[in-house]
Amino acid sequence: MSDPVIRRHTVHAFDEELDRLTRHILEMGGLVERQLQMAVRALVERDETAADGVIAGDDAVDELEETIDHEAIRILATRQPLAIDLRMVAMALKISNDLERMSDYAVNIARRAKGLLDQPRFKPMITIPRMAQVCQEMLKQVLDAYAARDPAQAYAAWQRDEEVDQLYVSLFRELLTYIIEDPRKTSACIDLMFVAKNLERIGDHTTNIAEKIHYIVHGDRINRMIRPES
Amino acid sequence: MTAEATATAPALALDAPRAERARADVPVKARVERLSFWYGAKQALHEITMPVHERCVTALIGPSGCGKSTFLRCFNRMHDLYPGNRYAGHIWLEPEGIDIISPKTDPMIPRLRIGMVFQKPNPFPKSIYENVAAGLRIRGVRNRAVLDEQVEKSLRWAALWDEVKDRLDASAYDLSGGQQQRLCIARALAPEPEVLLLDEPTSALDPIATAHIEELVDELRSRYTIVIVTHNMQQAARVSQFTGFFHLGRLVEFGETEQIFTNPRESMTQDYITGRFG
Ligand SMILES: Nc1ncnc2c1ncn2[C@@H]1O[C@H](COP(=O)(O)OP(=O)(O)OP(=O)(O)O)[C@@H](O)[C@H]1O
Ligand SMILES: [Mg+2]
Repeated sequence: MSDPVIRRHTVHAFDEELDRLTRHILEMGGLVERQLQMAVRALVERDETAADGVIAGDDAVDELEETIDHEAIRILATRQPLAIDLRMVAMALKISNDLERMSDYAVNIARRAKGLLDQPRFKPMITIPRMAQVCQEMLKQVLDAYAARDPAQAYAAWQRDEEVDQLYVSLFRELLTYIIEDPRKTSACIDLMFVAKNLERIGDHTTNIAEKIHYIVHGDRINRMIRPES
Repeated sequence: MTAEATATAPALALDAPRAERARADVPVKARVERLSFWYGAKQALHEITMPVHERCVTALIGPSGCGKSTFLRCFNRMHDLYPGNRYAGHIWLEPEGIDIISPKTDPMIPRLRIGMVFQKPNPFPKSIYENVAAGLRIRGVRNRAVLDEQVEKSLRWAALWDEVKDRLDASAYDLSGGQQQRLCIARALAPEPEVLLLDEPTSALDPIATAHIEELVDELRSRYTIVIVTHNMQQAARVSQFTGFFHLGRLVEFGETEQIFTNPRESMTQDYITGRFG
């Protein structure tokens, strides 16, 4: 399908159901953006309230995932969607799953942030916020791409995952050096490694969503060969 | 379709215009070539070119009045029965390469080799048994045991046997609409034709009988070639391997069923199958 123009359905209620599904995905995406933002603040600004907010905020994300599951299953049963509609509904199920995992990773980061409260600050606190910022920008871009059904924008976000991966690898090396230099920092460094790992996973799920946007619009996959898996 | 499936899918005949792509690796039972048809002055089909793959189910979909039934009726020369009807182009029946619609071809050849179930049930004014046996009698079968066996087998295939086995001599007109449709399916199946054309065979059937017919179609395709017209998109997606989308007497898109229903190439096909038409 080359023509991206999507006409309205003869049955208007079907359009409304699909619109609602899209809105719920975007709402869920907005919550995950906030989760991530607060988790980073908890870490960088040593804000315990923010950390608790992330942990408490996970339930709302889970609830929305359930709502989306329910709506998608209902559409499958009652409308038996095909072609782009089918891809939209099937991908809504998978995207909500990605978002739900991302919220879990934000919760992990918040927990580590709490653990780090009584540790002295040190240098990796520059690379981690940088990684988090790229993740946040990617997530925003991918949600905009989803709202606009814009595969070009999704692809732009998808490509940025490499930045996250590179930051992750260099941070990992850096933290190892710290441990070797000063074993008293081992515990803090391990916490930060987990934080970085969680951010790296968030980046991966964001690229998953980007791939799904491409699939919704084009019905095929982003060519993985463009960027070999690292 | 997954990336893997795309990668392993055998080469399509890409030089053909895109509405007409055939799978080069699947044998063809009939080759429709630039088929046009006129009811008097009214042209109902415009230069249709498509393959009918052997031992596959080909589904034909499209809005009411787009020419699906007209297209099917060309295969057994039903249109010859009315004056003023005119064909152009060819329908090559393999393996011999007989042009079904050529005036030189005896219409009995396709009629004996190609079975058809019409959109509206049309049983003969005879008993249930004789309706099913009719096609066999035309082919010269006289042996009562052979007839009995084939009648029972066909009625079982059509998921009708249990309902009529105790009244085979009753008139076919005593059956309900859905039963009459299954009787016509049994009648078409009895001579075991090479090609079976089904024009909305389940539109009057309940979900159970529909499921039986779909299962039958799936079973029969190991031996026969089947073309089915249906307005039920999910049915087309379930039972067929190839799908053609017709609109206003033209073939808009032909391709593998999975591709047509998950990722059609033409926006008109997408609008139709997703309910965005008109
Ligand atoms: N005997 C006939 N004489 C003149 N025109 C006819 C005749 N039969 C069909 N037509 C016309 O030819 C066109 C194609 O009809 P056809 O019955 O093939 O459509 P169809 O796709 O089978 O539709 P449906 O889904 O409603 O069964 C229509 O415009 C119809 O009005
Ligand atoms: Mg018809």
